Amino acid sequence: MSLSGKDKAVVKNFWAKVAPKTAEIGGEALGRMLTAYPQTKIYFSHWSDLSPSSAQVKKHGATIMAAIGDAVSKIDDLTGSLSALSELHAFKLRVDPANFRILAHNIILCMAMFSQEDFTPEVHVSFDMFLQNLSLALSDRYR
Amino acid sequence: MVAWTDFERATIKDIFSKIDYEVVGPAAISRFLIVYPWTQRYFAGFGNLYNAAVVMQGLEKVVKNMDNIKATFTELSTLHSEKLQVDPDNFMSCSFDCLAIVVAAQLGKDFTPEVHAAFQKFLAVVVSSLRRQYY
Repeated sequence: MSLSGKDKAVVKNFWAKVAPKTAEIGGEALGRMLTAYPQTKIYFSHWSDLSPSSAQVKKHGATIMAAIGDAVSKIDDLTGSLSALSELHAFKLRVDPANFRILAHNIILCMAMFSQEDFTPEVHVSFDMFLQNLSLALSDRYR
Repeated sequence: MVAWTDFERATIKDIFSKIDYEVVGPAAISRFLIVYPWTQRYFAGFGNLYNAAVVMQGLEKVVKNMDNIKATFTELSTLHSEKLQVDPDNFMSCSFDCLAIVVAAQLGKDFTPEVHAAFQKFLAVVVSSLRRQYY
């Protein structure tokens, strides 16, 4: 399900609108993933606090969203631009790529909560496809 | 038998008392028909989206029978597998994920991570019960 020119434009446009809130959305999304999908906690056992209000969670959520924002700016070559992060997730973090979908769902849910009028079904479908393509690029170096 | 905590029971009842079925049902279904267009294959005979309220009422039945969800859904599971022939992978990944998104948007701040977790567990149980009568 590749991104059309229209999808890319929709994603860039929407990202520009939510830019001021993305750090907060990232922290929320990560906190929700750890709470509602507790099996994902195994990847963060080195943190002392995995609750949604944890400073570690909020900071890392912001880091993730910054990387996603960078991917938006390089949307024409996701595989290339995410190569280093893919190697990190594959060889160092060893995150099962099935989990990318779970975080993507939580990011989308927070997008819907934080920007209700802007996150129409039309924006949702383009953004969902973008996160799917991003997850694919992030899995690229696994094997 | 699913073990529900007091918080989970209260939370699920609370969510269903707060959401407007006439809004949430059609909104969730129309959203996933757009976001996951292959699901449209199942809705040719569904009629108008006012029927979406029927889906919400099905979920409400579960809320009233939280200790016997499997039995509550036996007929519906058979319907989805034998008559409607819905690919069960769609249940969570398409329809209920969109329902969670629409409920989150409606409830806003009230949809805290803890409430979200309880709702997620509820949806997982519903999906499992809907899958039960498939081969």
